[in-house]
Amino acid sequence: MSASLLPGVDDLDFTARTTVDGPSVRVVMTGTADLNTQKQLEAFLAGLHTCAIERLATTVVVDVRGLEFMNSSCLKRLVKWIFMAEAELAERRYRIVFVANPKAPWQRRSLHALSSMAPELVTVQE
Amino acid sequence: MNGDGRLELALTVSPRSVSTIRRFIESYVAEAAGRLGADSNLAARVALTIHELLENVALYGQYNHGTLCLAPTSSEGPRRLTITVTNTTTPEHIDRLQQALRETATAADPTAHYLMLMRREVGRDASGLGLARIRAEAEMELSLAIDRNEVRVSATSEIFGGEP
Repeated sequence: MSASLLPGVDDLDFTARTTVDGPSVRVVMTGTADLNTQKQLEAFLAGLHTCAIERLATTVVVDVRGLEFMNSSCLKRLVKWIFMAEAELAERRYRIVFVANPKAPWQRRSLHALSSMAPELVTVQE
Repeated sequence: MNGDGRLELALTVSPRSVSTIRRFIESYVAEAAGRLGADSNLAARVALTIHELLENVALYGQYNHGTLCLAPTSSEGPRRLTITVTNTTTPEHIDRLQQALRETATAADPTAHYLMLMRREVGRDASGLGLARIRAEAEMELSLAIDRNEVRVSATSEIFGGEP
């Protein structure tokens, strides 16, 4: 597995890092995503989308088990990213799998809401 | 959080301090909820509510100042917890808040309304989702009181669980 050229987010309270292995793209988010990091998250997700398309990724796994909290502004950035993936032609479209922490009740509800934005594209694993 | 376990904090809220306050309140409520045998998700629902409401104070509150109050009630009917955030703000924000509250509090299906807003607000810079998220995910009923330039947003939920 190789480190990605995609710049991550390394804030005081939030990190997002990507690893790429051929067509497999994996993101790990930790900490709290909120007002302090929403712009960085938006830029990161735009770069992630480009990376996934360039790598011909079939799936992007987003591991949020270490994510303590995400505010509604950052959730909206994830919705925007999902819509970007959904807008791609079928042969370039990738699936999004969120890996959730079953001990974090907010994740179940928030990620379910995200998956309902594009149920054929987005799934949640606990 | 017993019969008179009211908690009131006067706060100057920055974007960085919101999480610190959320963690404190979540621990406080989790301890009380565990002691009273209340809904095991209560602390997480309160934490979500407080984070979304206090971010509004950090963004739109005059001098970033506000008060946060947690007030359990044990009068007739089911036991409830009311979270109230009070702050002064601009007339423009009051208008936006009134509109958002009216739309969210009266939606027949909180989840459908939340999902609709996710789609509608996706291209806009401000979140526009916070109140709908509180109602749909934290299962709180919302109300708003306005006194000149002071706004008071309240979120109320049944506590569930046993008697104190």
